[in-house]
Amino acid sequence: MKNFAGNIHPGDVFLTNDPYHGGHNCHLPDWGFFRPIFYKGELLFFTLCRGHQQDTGGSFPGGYFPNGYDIHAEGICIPPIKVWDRGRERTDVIELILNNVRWPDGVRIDLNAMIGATTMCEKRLGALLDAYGKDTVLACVNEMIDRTERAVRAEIRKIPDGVYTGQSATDDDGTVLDEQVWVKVKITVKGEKMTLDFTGSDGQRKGFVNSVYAATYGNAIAAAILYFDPAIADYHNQGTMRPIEVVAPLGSVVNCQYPATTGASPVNVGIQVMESVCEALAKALPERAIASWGKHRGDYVFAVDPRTGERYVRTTFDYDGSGGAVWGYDGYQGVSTMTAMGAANRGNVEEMEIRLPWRMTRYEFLPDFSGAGRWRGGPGIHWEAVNEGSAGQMATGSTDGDVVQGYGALGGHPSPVSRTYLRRQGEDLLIKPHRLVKVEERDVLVKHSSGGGGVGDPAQRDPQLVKEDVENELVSLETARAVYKVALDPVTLAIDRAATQALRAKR
Amino acid sequence: MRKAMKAKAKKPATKAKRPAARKPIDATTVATVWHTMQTICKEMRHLVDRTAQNYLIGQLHDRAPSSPSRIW
Repeated sequence: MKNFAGNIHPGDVFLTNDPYHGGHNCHLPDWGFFRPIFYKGELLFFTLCRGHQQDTGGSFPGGYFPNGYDIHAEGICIPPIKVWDRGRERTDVIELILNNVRWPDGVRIDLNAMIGATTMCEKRLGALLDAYGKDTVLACVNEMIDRTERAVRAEIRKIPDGVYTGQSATDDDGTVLDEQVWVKVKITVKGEKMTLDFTGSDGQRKGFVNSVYAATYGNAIAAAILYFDPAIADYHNQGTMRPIEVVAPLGSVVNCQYPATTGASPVNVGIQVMESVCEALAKALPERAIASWGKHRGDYVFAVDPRTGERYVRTTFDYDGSGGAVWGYDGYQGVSTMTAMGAANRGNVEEMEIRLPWRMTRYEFLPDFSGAGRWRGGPGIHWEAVNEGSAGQMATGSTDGDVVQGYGALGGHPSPVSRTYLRRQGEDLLIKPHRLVKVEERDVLVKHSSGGGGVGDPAQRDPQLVKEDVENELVSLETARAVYKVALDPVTLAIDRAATQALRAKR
Repeated sequence: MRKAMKAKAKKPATKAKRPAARKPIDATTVATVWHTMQTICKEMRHLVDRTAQNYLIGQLHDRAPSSPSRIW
């Protein structure tokens, strides 16, 4: 925004999607609209509305494809620019952008929705300022930031001083295949300060898993605050960031340099940043331990919809597994990737079938497909849909977890490996993450997406909960006995207390 | 030269200003302003969810109207 010093006015709206400019973004499909908010001629706030666009141009639709030559191959790179100037749309600029994306009519609707949201924010904040006055509102903002900072410092003081380590890997970078990419963190807690140091992580990659510093910073802080008192969860703000330092060496996969590709980075290595921090802090605060979530399972298909004769891109992650367990609770069901922290979720089947030429044939939890534990991971799923559209292509760009398992904590089991298949003429073809493959008419896409990791020793799980898991077909009778050490009557599912006690005593 | 530098270090040209004492704000006002801002963020989210045509935003909620929407 330095380029606009002295040239920011009421009614302006700025747009950027470039991870290397702007500091809010991880990859090109996420477009952010910033509106300066003035009150009585004085600039007091900025608001941001950011969302993942249907398309951003580039070599293939949807933005999650591997093997871009550089970031320019991944789509249109928009540095911070004005798309509205003093209340008037800069139509020529918008048209230039829309001319560089697919489905411009749809993208135009979404741009208007997002700009509209910033307009609403401006009106609501204006009303707040009218009601309380500028001085009071700004004093409250500062007060809230200071209060949050004090609360976060107090939370950090609760963590024993020390050094804690964690690490996580993605299956590969999509260009150098079958070679894992590692993120490593060393967390130093001293008094009321915490340093998250990613030195030792792999170097920047040719493939699209690179994360810019802003994205690493956001994911690292987001993971750390999961270990703070949930009572302050509603109050995180700038104050949260003051006592936490994030170190990421320039040129590493967690602080990449232009023009490295970043397409998959919200997932890979974004998830690895979060997992490594959560794994490390589980050692520091076991009573708040968090296991890995099921790995992200996004596959993007682009082909032609015979109902309309038009091209489409199916940008979904409807087949994500579930959340990881936390100390005291099983993992959530139905949530999406760990980096979205529950804000993103699976879509609605009917909506997908209306919009896209894919018909769902199976969508259910699979037994024994999450990490066992005293608190188990949310269940994994089996998802199938048949392609009723044309032949096309599928990018498994934001999928992960076919090789590297998500960690379990404190003796909890890890998240199982996941699988993607294309069933073609009765044969199941295994499709790895980070690939670009052909899809044929009538292919059936089969997703086995694992659930989250577990926390704590499974043999300490309440037998009653194990019984309920078996009744709900989340755990098999065999696993109940072999892993959870709970003996159930195979017909009535009644708990055999004596046999269970004997099984658990044997260990 | 060294002496001059030392002298300069001991006696800065201008004294640092003491930060102005902040006016105390009552807890009710702080809570009201804070939660109004949160509500604005939530309204922005609802507007985008209900208006956007793309599946990622409307169905999967892959959006962040106002910064920390994945947190609160």
